[in-house]
Formats: sequence, structure tokens, C-alpha cells
Amino acid sequence: MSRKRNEGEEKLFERSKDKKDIDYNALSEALKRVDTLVKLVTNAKQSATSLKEYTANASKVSDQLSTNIQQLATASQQVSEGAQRLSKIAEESAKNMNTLSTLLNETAKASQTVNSTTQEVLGRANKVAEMGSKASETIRNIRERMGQVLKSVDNMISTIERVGKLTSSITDVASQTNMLALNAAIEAARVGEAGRGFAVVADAVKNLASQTRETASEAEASISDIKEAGSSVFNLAQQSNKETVDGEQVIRVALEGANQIREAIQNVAKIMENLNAQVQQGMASAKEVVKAIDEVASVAQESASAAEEASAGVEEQSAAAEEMATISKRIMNEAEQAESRLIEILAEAEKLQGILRSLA
Amino acid sequence: MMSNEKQIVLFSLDGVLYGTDVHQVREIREVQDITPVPYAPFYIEGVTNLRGEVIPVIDLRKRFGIKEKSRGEKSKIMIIVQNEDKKAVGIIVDSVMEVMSVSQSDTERTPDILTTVDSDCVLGIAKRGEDLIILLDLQKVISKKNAEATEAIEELATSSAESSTPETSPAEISG
Repeated sequence: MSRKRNEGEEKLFERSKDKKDIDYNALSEALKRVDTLVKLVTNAKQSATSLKEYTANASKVSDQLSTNIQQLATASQQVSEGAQRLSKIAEESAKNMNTLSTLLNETAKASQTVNSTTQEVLGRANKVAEMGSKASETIRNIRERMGQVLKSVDNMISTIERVGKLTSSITDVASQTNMLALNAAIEAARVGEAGRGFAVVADAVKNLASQTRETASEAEASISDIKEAGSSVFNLAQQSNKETVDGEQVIRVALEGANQIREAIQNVAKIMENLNAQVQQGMASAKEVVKAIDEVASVAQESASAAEEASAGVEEQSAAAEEMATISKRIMNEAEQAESRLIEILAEAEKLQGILRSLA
Repeated sequence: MMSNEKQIVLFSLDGVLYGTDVHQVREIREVQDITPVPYAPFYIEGVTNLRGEVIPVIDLRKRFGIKEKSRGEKSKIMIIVQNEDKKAVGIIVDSVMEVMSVSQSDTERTPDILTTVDSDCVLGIAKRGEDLIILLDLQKVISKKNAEATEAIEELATSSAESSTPETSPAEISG
């Protein structure tokens, strides 16, 4: 050995010098032990392999679990969103229903106004009808009186005609008297001086006759004036009578109109009453709808919060599952490493076993 | 009766005043029913019954040639005069006013006046205030000039049952 030994070899050499003598007993003992060791390591290796396999499965399962949990989370998220949307819709519906309620209320108020207006109009129509029938009665009275006036005027005219005849006969008598007086005067004149006194009387008679005639003709003129006036009164009365008939007709038409208005208004009132009842029903229905919507909204809210809670729980679970997966993966890795080391150890142990056998 | 006073019957015709001697007038009558007579002169209205006496009636308006006016207005008066034969004749005028006296001093003879009536029928013109009165001789008016008329009057008078026989011939009358 020309080469200088290094420190380690030196030590090993010294040791081998020290243990020159082989203790076979000890050797067999060591062999036995190595055998046991191999056996143990083999077992351990098998266990590590099994563990590796198990942990691989566990990892797979936990992955699956994680995926499922993720899906569940998505679903609960969707549920939550849906519930929220539903809640919003319910809220809007509630708003709409409120608007509808307001409108119904306004309609009810308006219909009440219409109702009071129709009542007022009805009252007025009733008054018109009343006044119309009063007017009608008055006109009937007027017509009756006009008839009496007509009769009176007619009587008056015939009386005046009779008076006229009288005056014409007076005129007649007067002119005859005049004639007589003339003839008397002629006679007296023919007698001459003896007839003077008679002539004076005849003259006086003649004057009286002519006065009578004048008076009668004045009377006649007055009578004809009166007759004319009476005739125009008669005509006027007749015209008035006709006008009152027309007026009666007009009032009758007006009364009919008022009655028609009254009927129409009564119909309107009935319709308004109906409308009002329907509006009331509608309001009640709207209230129920609002209540239902409120319920829906609260349920939706509840379900949304429930879904959120569920979502939170799922997330937690998901984290746990992920952790579990990580851990099982780590375990698997450890198991793999352990297995490979055990394989190495086994190989060394088997090598050692072979050496020991050859020695023994 | 005073000689310078004359009693006349005053009458009117177509707005003109006429006067005739009261002695020529028998009476004044209203015009009564007149029966027209065929072939009578145009101025003869017809005949009328005067208390049972049938007398001819002359329309003085027509006789004077004055435009005819519808009777019934004022001409309802008939002056009954006697003709020269003392036979009654009716003369229709517009109206008879009165019997009055006219004095000679108020009367003017106007023989040269030309009227529708022959001048010898007109005795004169009398004044009464502003009015003028034509004084007529009615006997001459009905008897003179128109021989045919006179003849007709005579015939009518003689044909009457009541009338007396004519004492004079038409020729004598016209003379």
C-alpha cells in the first residue's frame, strides 16, 4: 500500500484491526435481525403503498366533494338571486297595486262627486218639473179666463151692434122728423102769414131733428169706435188664447224634457252606484292582492336570506373540503415518499442480508 | 106775404144750391121704390107709387146733364112738384135743406147766364151770405123744352089708373 490512507480509511482500518476476530454467533444473530428488519420493512412498504393508494382515493373523493359543493354554492347563489329578483318584482307589484288603489280611491271619490252632482241635478230637474206643472196650471187658468174674456167681449160686441141698430133707427126717425118738419114748413109757407106760427114750430122741430141726427151720428161714430176696439180686443184675446195654447204645448214639451232628464239622471245615478260598488270591490281585491304580494315579498326575502345563509354554509364547507383535499394530497405525497424511502431501505436491508449470508 | 119776400125751398145738387118757389112744391119725400119704364127718356128714372098715386120720377142730375152719381149716398130726396096740369111729378135731388125766404133785393136777374139748364128755367140768383142760390122754375124744368120728355110724362101720367084725363095736349103745354 504505497498510497497514503485518508483519515476515514485509516479509521476503518484501525477498526478492522481491532475486530479481527469474527464472532459468528454475533453474526448469525445480526443476520437474524436483518431478516426480521427486511420483513418489517417489506411490511412497512406494503403499508405505505396501501396508504398511498388510500390517500389517492381520498383526494379524488374530496375533489369530487369540492366540485359538488361548488355546484351547490352556485345553485344557492342562483336561488338567492332569484329570490331577490322575486322580492323586487313583488315590491314593484306592490307599488303598482298601491297606484291602482290610489286610482280606485280617486275613482271612488270622483264617483261620489258625480253622485252628489247627479243628486243636485236631479233636484233641479224635479224643481223644473214642479215649476213646469205650476206654469201649466197657471196657463190653464189663464186660458179659462181668456175664454171668459172672449165670451164677454163677444157679448159686448153683439150688445154694441144692437145699440148701433138703435142709433141707426134713431137716425132714421130723426131724418123722418126732419122730413116732416120740412113738409110742415112748406105747408106753413104756402098758407102765408097765417102759417107763421106753425112755421116757427116746424123750424124748431127741424132743428131738434137735426140735433138728434147729429147726436145719433156721433153716437154711431163712438159705437163704431167701440166696436172696432171690441173687435181688436176680441182678436187679441183670441190670439192670446192661441198663444196660451202654444205656451201650454211648449211647457208640456219642457216638462217631458225635464222628466226625460230626470230619468236619464236616475239611470246615471244607478250606473254610478254600480260603478261605486265595483270600485269598492276592486279596492278590496286590490288590498287582498297587496297583502298576497306582501306575503310573497316577505317569503322571497326569507328565501333569499335562507339561500344566502345556505350559500355561506356551502362556502365554509367548500373551504373545509378543499383543505381536506389538500391535506389528503399532502398525506398521499408523504405516503409516496415514505414508500420510496422504504423501498430504498428495503434494498439496503436486502443487500445487507446478502452480505451477512455470505459471511455466515 | 110781403111782395119783396119770397119763400123758397132750398135744395142742393152736386154741391150747387138751388131754390124753388114754395108754391111749386107739394111735399118732400124720401126716394122709394122706383119701377123703370121701357122707352122712357134717359132722365126719367121710372114711376113710383105715392100713396096710391102713380107718379113719374125725374133725375134732376140727368136732366141737367150732370155726371151721374150713384144714388144712395145723398140723393134720397124727392121733391114732389105739380106740373102745369096739376099732376104730381117726383124730382130727385141730392138733399133738401130748408124753407127760407129771400128778399127781392138779394136777387139778381141774370138772363144772360149760361147754365146747363135753359135760362128761362132760371129765375135769378139769390145771395145768402157767401153762398149763391140758383132760383129755378121747377115747373118749367119738367115741362118745357123736351117735348119727348113731356110726352112721356104725359103718357105715364095718363096710363095710370088713378090719374085723371089730361086737360091739355102736349102742344098746348109746350106753348
